[in-house]
Amino acid sequence: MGNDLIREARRRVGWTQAQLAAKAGTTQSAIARLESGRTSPSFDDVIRYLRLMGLDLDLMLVERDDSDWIQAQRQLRLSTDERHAHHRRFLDQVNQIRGRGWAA
Amino acid sequence: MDAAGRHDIDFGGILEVLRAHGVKFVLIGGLATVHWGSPFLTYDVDITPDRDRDNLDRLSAALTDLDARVRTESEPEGVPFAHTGGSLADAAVWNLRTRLGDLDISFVPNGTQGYRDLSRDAVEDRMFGVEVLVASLADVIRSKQAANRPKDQRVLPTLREILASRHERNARD
Repeated sequence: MGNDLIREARRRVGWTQAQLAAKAGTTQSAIARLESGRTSPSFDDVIRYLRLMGLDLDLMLVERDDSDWIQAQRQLRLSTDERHAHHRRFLDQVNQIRGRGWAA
Repeated sequence: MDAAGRHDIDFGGILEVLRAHGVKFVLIGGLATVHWGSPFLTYDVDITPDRDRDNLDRLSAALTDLDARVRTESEPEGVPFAHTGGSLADAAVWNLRTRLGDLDISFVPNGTQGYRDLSRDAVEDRMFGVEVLVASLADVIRSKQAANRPKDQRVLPTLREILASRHERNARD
């Protein structure tokens, strides 16, 4: 995830990979490898890159709850057409339940 | 949304009207995340149109076709409004109720520079039978993180997991 965060931050501040590389004292190709996931930044490196871009990570420890991720994994096994159809059916079911009201 | 809280929306219908009028846009928001595997329900269509004047004129024609009205808290069924391509450019965000469901237009979503920025990594794909340009998951996350509303905070951890799971290095057993 650190690579995604660095890429997200760079796009958010509107920098090129070369600009970030110059600030960080590295090369554009190193940034490209890092953002693509071919190399993995350490946690401290992620913080350093983000701070160079004027951003920071707001972290806190919470209990792990993977219920949403489990549902997401089911969606990831579907084709995109199946995901759209599933969403449509789910929305229709929610509307049916709401139409029946809480007393049903 | 009706009095019972039901949301009636024809996702494909809205997208088809936009496409039929030749509107250039990137699909963003909850529906884009559904495309990428999000398990969270969404009740509207969110788009970022190109702000080119000809495109805004086409968007205005599409909104007329959709009988679009301005959605407000006090007037959930929407307030009729006159619009042209030029007048649409006067606001950054339009929250609309159409005859096919809710349509939200954001010219420069939080954390982005708008259509050209988002279209760079967007993917042309079919949604509900309509060819649309879907924002990349990374770009939707970028925007939701910048907006940082409670509803964004709710979904972001899962969206980040989906994004990270695409890196082969991070693949789960």
